[in-house]
Amino acid sequence: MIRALLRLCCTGILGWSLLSGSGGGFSPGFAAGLDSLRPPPKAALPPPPIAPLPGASSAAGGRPSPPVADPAAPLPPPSMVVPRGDVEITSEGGFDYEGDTGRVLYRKKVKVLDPVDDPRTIITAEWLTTIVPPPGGKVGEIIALTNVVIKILDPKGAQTASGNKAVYNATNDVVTIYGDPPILEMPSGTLYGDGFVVFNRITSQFQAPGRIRMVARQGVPILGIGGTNAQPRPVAPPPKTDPKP
Amino acid sequence: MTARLGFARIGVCLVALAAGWLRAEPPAARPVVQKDFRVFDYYRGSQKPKALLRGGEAEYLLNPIPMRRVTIETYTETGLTNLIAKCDTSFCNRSNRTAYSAGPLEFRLSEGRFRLSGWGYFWSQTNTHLIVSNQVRSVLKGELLSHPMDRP
Repeated sequence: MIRALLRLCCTGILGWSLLSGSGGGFSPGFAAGLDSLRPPPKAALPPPPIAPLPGASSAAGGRPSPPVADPAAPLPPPSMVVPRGDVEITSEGGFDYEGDTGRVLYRKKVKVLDPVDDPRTIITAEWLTTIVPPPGGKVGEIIALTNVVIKILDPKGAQTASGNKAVYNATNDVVTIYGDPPILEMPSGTLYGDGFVVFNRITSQFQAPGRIRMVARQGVPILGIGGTNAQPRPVAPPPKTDPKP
Repeated sequence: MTARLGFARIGVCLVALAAGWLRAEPPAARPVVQKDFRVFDYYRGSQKPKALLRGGEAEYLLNPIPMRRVTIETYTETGLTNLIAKCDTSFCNRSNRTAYSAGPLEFRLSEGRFRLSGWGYFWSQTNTHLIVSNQVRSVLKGELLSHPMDRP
């Protein structure tokens, strides 16, 4: 109650002094004293200068935002491990294993199914050798020798590569077929390579560098290019047969 | 006279018995079987085992030694088991540390990295060299062939 009265009085005195300009009904000294009690009005301070960030454009005159890592931004993709199914190797002529080096050798009518449950690649040869790594290691190379035939099954169709030697590099999943010449049979025709042919299992693509010879099958386009410039023949309509009375 | 005849008869009987005893075949020898028969091979210059040829039962007095429930193991220098091969029956030549059999063999490397089955084998323990002669079928684990690759 007392505080409210005090507030009212102060407000009234202040308002009277403002309206009258000379302190109102109070004595000038009292008004001056009141003025001295009021805190001086603060001068508007200029905004603090902001140093531009290096490389940041200040054309808009706006304040550049500090660099903050966007949590939604994708991280750089790490290296991936391509999963592989188990590989089955059979032979009729026997098997050698050297414990000191880990070298294994298959003899006579060797057959490889990769992967064993749903073979995409079938390899037959007379010899096959590789090195089984120690625990924790990976296979580097698998070499097939003599009468090597590699059959690849993919949605494009069955493709067969044959030669004298095939080297599979597990590091980059690439098979190199050597022959004199290496022969590649595709749905579109037969390709005779120049020394060797390379097959990439990841992209399912063959590469045949050097001087090659291609024998195309009739009516099958090669590399998406096929046919002639002749107009297509119109198909004759089927003969009409009168219904028997 | 009667005593002389008696002595003569006894003598004849003794001679007949001796002849029969000499002609008789010796009784069949019972096989001497050792259980848990082992042939070790060590790394040169150390007591660390390199290979072990073990038979659940072995007639070790014969040469070659017939064994049953045969196991072949090799070890790394750190003592880890690397190779395990099993066969029902085998013959062992202790002098040159070899074993062989015409029967089935199961062979695998540690952690299942490589498994193999076949018929007929020859094992040379000194060189840790194994040969399997027929109907070889093996499975190589896919993990051995998968390598890390950069994402395309």
